[in-house]
This record gives sequence, structure tokens and C-alpha cells, in this order.
Amino acid sequence: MLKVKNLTKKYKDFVAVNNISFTINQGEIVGLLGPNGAGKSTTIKSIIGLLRIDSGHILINEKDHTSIDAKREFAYIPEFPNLYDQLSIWEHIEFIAKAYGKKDYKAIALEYLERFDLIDKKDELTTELSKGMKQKLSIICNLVIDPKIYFFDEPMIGLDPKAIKTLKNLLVELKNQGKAIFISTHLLDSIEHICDQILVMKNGAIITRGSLEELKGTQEISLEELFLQVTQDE
Amino acid sequence: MNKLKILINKDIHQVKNYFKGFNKNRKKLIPVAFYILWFYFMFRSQTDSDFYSINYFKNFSFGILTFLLIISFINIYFERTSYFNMADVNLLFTAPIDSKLVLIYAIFKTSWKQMLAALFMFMFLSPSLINAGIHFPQLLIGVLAYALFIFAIEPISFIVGQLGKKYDLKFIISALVAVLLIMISIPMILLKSPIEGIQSEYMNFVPLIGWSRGIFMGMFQINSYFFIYILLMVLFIITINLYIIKTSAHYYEDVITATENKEAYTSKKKQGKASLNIRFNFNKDKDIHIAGDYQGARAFHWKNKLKAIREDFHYLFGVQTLLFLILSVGMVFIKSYRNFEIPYPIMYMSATGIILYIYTLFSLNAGGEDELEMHFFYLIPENNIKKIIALNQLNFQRMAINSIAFFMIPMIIDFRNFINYLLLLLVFNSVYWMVKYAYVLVKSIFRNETDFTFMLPLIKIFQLLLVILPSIIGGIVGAAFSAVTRINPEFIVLTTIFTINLVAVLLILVLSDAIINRIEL
Repeated sequence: MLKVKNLTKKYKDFVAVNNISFTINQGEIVGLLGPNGAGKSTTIKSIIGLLRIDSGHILINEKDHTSIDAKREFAYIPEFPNLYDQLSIWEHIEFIAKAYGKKDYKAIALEYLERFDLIDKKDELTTELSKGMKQKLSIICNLVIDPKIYFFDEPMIGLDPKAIKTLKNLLVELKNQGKAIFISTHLLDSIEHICDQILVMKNGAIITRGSLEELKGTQEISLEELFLQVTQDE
Repeated sequence: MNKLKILINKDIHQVKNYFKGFNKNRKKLIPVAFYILWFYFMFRSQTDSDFYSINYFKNFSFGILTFLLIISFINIYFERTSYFNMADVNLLFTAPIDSKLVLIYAIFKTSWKQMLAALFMFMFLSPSLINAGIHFPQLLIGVLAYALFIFAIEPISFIVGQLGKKYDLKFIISALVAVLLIMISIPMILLKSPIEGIQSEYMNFVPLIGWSRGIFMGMFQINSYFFIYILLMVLFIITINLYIIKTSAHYYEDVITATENKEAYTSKKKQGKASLNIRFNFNKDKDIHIAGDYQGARAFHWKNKLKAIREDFHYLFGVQTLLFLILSVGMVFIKSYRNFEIPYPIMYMSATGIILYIYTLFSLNAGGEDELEMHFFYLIPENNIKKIIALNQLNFQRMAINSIAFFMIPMIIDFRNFINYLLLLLVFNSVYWMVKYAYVLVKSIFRNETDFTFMLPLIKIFQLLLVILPSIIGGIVGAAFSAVTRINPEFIVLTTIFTINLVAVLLILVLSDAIINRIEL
């Protein structure tokens, strides 16, 4: 579904992402972890084509990541929801559905609005929403697209506990539907039990990878403890 | 005293680090060099001119002071006036320091920052002042006038903001503006002339604006009123600060929203993204339905239509169209009423130039399309050319209608020059297209936020050049052709400008795939 080979992204002389490679298969959730400044957001933005890569190859469902065809295959949920001040919640969904050529989106959109407790506010402008509500809307807009792969960059920041639980359940549902999910987060306990594979980044490089079981080995530790161990050792 | 020392030390460190930053990032020196050069050329270009009369400075100082007061009211209204930043909120407000000390120090610091800005402004104004016979010691009087004004309006902003938390902010600001307007209009009514009213000594009795203007004009002549104005200003500043110290012990909660807003706005401004669009929201709560199928890139057109319907009378025309029409009617009316000898084509050509100049300056300040800052624009799976056309389609349609509203009256009443007006209309629209597309081009050349933050003045000049270059070439071509042919020079100039703009716009469109792929978020 996603093939990243030797991806390098530099900002002038600073190497933000250093020659990383990995693949994500259908029906797989991959967690991207790392301390602040590790290069997680840059990696995601480079994959989805918001940043130009300096070297490497990225294929999304066998299509070049910057191509229009590739864009049809993925959705991106950014850390900070950038929305249009003058559109209501429903109009945002309508806009995205139109832009991605989705015709039968209304029923599913209403269902997601219900699940994220936004149904009563669907006609309100985004200026009247809290940060958490905006984040929920950003997630719903991307769920409506119904792509094959999702890129989540810190999606849980600003969400209330109920919304985090809803999102976690949704991630599992999407995985069961055969979608691929690439998620970057600092809330380690929220993804601990749903990730099939974990990539840990530091200083622009992947320093550890594998399933949670593989990474833990024989140790009886949590993902958080494992993360601290791995990032400290480097 | 110890706590004050902590606050002062914090700021000294910040200032030191700011200057150290020049060493770390040399790009920061570019705007500094640019301002020095600008200042140098301003000084070099000073001429002995009668233009800078005493009345000129009376009007100028009155205009500037009124403008500053109105801007501070606007900032209070939008809750953007704050002496603090988010770091203060997170770190200083939670620290064991007396909140009154924090506030007074912040007011003092902000006023001094404003003073530095004022000194900078006076540096630019000084060539004109020197031309008017004002020299260094007298210049200090001007600085004093401005300083007292700033030290007075900063605390007012705070008090009005505080009162706005308890009472209706709109009402308070409206009442203040009304009182100000009444006081300003009294001398104008008494003397039966707005200009004479502004220039009269009566205007100096208007609190703050008038008193400061009275002190400012002391640069030219000092009389007994000069000292009275200084006394009034000083008394006002002392009283208002004492009031703040007495009443504002628990203000932290009240200033957080304004601080967040200010920080967000400042950050946008630094990156050239602050929007100057005035929105009316006529149909804010209306359920809007747009018929038709807008799939793919055309979804942008659908969204813009939706926004336009929400904000204006109709998606194709609105308040701006009305303003263009009123302006055109007003011009014709003034020409007939006052028997102006300027021919209609020259009048409309000048008006077109002024409108485009103002529009370009405003759009330079406002940055560009918000859309280019959003990931949607880049990720929606469509051809970039289609996206960029759909994005601007409605803007272009609306401006075309605005320009028709503006030019249709001269086209009818001065029909023999119909072709010239038609060409003017085309030029008007083509410059508008260039304003929109130049930003896309600039965004792709100066790709990252570091470039935008440090090189904004240069970027804006480059953007301005892109927009006005065709007009300069048009002027040169027109002058050259009219010297050797009998063809109407206006026809040649306008046709050349339109053709160059059209070619440039088409070129940007054709290359938009490559251009947009260069932009990074």
C-alpha cells in the first residue's frame, strides 16, 4: 500500500529525514513514534507531497506519491486543523466530498458526526467551534473521502477522552476494512494495543522497528517504557 | 524592586538574543539593509519645496493621530490589544510576582516599544520636516508630542478592553467614537469647511488628538497653549495610570483571549498572511443551497460561491460593486457640478490607476489566497491548472462586474471614447489577475516560512514589480509608438499593458503545475 525507499528530506544543510525506508500493507496500523524534532511530521508531509523530498522513492498504492492518482488513495489529518472560517461543519464535508468526487457521502457523514458528537453543531461555522471540535471535523472530512490509506499526524491532540476512544475504535474498524493507517503520536498508551508495527524515529532516522512483541522481546514493559529505553539508548 | 529587576533582566536577555539572532541568521540583515538604503534615498531625494507648508503638517499630524486612535479602537474591538504574549501568560502570570507590577511594567514596556517605532517614523519624516525649516531640537518636540500621545492611548486601550468584559464593548467603542466625531466636527461646522476646521486652533482643544497636535505644532511656533497641552497630556496620563493601579488587581483571565488573538494575528502578519478582507456576513444564518454539480477542482468554485452568498448580496456582486458604482456616479457628478475641465478619459484613467494602486498595496499587505496556506489545495486530486482556475474564477467574475459598474457610466455619457473605456476595463481586470497570480508565483519562489518572515519587504517589492512591470513597459512602448506613428498613445499603452498581462497570466497558468509543485507547506 505504501512503499517508502531511502527517503531523505533536508532543510538547507539540516537533514530532517535521513534515508529512511519502510512499507505499510493493507489492513495494517503503523505507529510512528519519536521525540520532538525527530522528523515525524516532516516524514508524513514528505510522503503526502506537502514537502519536496531530496532523494528516495515513495509509492502510494503503486502510484508516485505526488501524482493526482495517488492523492485519490490517501487522506491526511494534520496536527493543527486548518479550516475555513466562513464554512459550516456540514459545508466543509460537502466541499471535501465534492473535491474528491464522492456522491454518496451524506449518510456516512451523518453517522460520523453522530459518533463524534458534532451532529447538533453541523450548521455552525468553524469560528464557533473549539479546537477539539475543529480536530474532530478535520478527522470526519477525511473519513468521508474513504481512501485506502490514512495519515494521522498527532490526531488526538485537543480531543476529549470520549473522542479519543471513538477515534481508536474507528482506527480498528478501518484496519478491519483493509485500510492502511500511518499514525504519528505522543500518546503512546492510546495506540499501544492497536499498532501492528512501530517505527521509532530520532534525529531523522528510524532507530527501531517491529511489532510491539518483537520490540519488547522478553521484557514485561509498556510501550512508553520501551520508547524511553530506545530513545535514551541512542 | 527585586521582582522588577527580574522582569527587566528577562527583557534585556530577550533584546540581547534578538541581536545575537542576526549573527545566527544573516537573512535577518536583509530587511535592515533595505531600510537603511530606503532611508538613505529618502534623505537624498529631499528637495526645496513649498509643498510642505505649516498647514500640510497640521493636516498630516491630525490625520496620523486620528488614524492611530481609530486603529487602537479597532484592535480593542477585535480583542487584539494586549501588553502580553503567550509566554507571559504561561510563565509570568503563574509566577509569584504582583500582578499590578506585571501590568505597569508591561504598559511601560509597550509604550517604549511604540516610542521606538515613532522614532523610526520620524527618521522617515525628517527630510520633509527639514525641508519645512525644522531642525534637530525642534524635531524633539515632535517626538515628545507623539510619545505623550502613545503613553496616553495605551492605558486607554487597556481600560476599554477591561470595561468591555463587564459591559457591551461595541457600545463603549461606539460611544467613544461618537464623542470623538462630535468634537472633531464642531470646528468644521463652526468654520463651515472641513479643511479649515482641521487646520484651525479650535481643533487643538479636542482631547488627546488635539492636545498632541498642539504640542506637535510647537515645532514651528511655541506659544502659551503649547505648555497647557503638555500639562493636560501629563495629567491625563498620570490619572489614567493611577486608575489602572487602583482597579486592576485580577486581570489575568481578562487578557488571555486578547493575548491569544494578538499572537495569532502578529504571527500571520509576520508571514504576510494577515487578511484585510472585510466581511459583512449578510446571510450568516441562512440555509444556502447551490444547484449544480461541482465535482473535483470545481468544488473550490462551489465553496467560493457559498462564501460569497453568505457574505454579500449575491455571489456575483455586492457591497464592492455598489462602492464602484457610487464612486463612478460621484466622479461624474463632481465633474458636472464643479465644471472640471479634465476630460472624462483622463479622469477615469487616473481613478483606475489610484484604485489599482490602493488595491495592490492592500493585497500586498494581506498576503494572498488563504487557500495556498491550506493542505486541501495541494492534496485534492485534481490538475493544478484546473484548481488554480477554479480557485480564482469567482474573484475574477466579481471583479469583472465591479469594473463594468464603474465604467458603464462613462461608456454611456462619453460614448465617443467607448474603446478607451473598454480597454481601461480590460486593463483593470488584467492587473487584478496579475495581483492574484503574482502571489502564487512569489509563494513558489520564496518557498518556506523563514524566507517569508525575514524577507517580507523584499518579497513584497518583487510582487509589486511583477504587477506594475507590464504597465511600465506599456508606458514606454506607448511613448515610443506615439512618437513615430499617428495612433492614439492611450490606445497603444492600454493595449500593450493588457496584452503583457494576459500573456503573463497565461504563462503562469500553463506553468502552474511546476509552480505549485515547488510550494511547500
